[in-house]
Amino acid sequence: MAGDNRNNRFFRPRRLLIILVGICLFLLLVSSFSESFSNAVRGAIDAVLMPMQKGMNRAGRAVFSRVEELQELYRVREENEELRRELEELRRANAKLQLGQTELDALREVLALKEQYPDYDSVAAHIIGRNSDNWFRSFLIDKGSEEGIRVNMNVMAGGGLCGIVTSVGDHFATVSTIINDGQYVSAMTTHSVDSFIVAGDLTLYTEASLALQHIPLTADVRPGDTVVTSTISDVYLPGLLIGHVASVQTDPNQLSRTGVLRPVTDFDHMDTVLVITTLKEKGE
Amino acid sequence: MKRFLCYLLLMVAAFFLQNNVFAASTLIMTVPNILLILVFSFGFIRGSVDGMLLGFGCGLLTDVFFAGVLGASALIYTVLGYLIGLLGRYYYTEFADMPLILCLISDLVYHLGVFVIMFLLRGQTHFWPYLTGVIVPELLYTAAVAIGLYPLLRRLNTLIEKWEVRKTKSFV
Repeated sequence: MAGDNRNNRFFRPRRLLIILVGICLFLLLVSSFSESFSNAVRGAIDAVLMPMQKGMNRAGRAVFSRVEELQELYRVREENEELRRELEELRRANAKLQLGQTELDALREVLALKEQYPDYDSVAAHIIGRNSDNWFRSFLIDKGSEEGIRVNMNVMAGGGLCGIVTSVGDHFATVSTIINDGQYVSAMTTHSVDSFIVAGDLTLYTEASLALQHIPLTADVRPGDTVVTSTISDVYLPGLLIGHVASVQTDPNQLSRTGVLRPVTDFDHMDTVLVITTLKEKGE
Repeated sequence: MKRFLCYLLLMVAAFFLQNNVFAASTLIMTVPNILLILVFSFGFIRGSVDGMLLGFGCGLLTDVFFAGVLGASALIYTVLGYLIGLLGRYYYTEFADMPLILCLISDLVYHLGVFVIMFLLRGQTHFWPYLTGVIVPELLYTAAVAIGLYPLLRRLNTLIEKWEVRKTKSFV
């Protein structure tokens, strides 16, 4: 214990505790008020660690990939069957929709309506790290402010909404997924305009589901309905696919309904994502 | 000084191992908390000061990369390092290598901290689903890794100590 005594001359444990806790509280206070301060700290650490992180992530994949490949094979086989069936159905539906689209275009022209859901510009990014503290599902991507990524940009994966950019470094950005407890997305079904809330819920993580909240009693929401982001959210762009309604039930208070949503994004198997570089305009 | 360099390297290595190597695996849904193992091992073996410094560094790394506001994890890890250091002082025995008990205590302290600071203060009061869904799986996985890692860290500590002694002798 010789080293201990030598250290103690410089810092007494209790004094050090007070100093460090003080620094923590200071950081908490300053970073919750000033975005630029936390970005400066992030930038400094990011510059040193980021190149290493990319390499390590590749190494991690290599280690686990052998076993996972086998597992993947079984999964893919089943999925293939399913997809084939789905493709059949989609082809049929597509033909029908194309007919509908021509009709819609004609009608739109007549009414001079602006297109509701334009194609958004997007940038592809690789996932290079995941938050491992098991309370939150967020991940890092290898593009940052230098590549045009900004806070609050929407992130898509596997065709569905996957999350939102919460902080940005020079060459990395943190994305919080919508299954995170505390993430709320304002949403609606494709065939009605009643909006409700899609909420991340830690207890539904394991089933890879999300919670539906505040569905109006009168809204026409049924299992199987397609859910997209609504037009009234202030950070999410309208018309992004989220998933399908799995179940709906009336709350005990008889005032609204809640339900469960199956997202189209497979949150366990993501390695590239699309960041939509269009930001929702708030009219400020 | 050399010791702090070692700590810095260990921290970065543990951070990568945890967030890039283990998290890249989807075999098991949970990820062992290697940073936590680092903090409680050195906190227990070397005392509060080392535990706190490691805890502060590990927490800050986690905050910088994953949290919206800086300082929350750093706070939890620092306090944890201090507490484990106290435990080590009053419970010091040569043969009591007890990674399991240490792991249990520090994982619970850590998760209670996270729950109170990041969930309870936000009005999420359901503790039970978090306990069974998050805490217990991580605890088991972390404990399993700790059993293997703790003796290695202990040996590493002896190595650093020897190295320090030799350095001071050669100067005298």
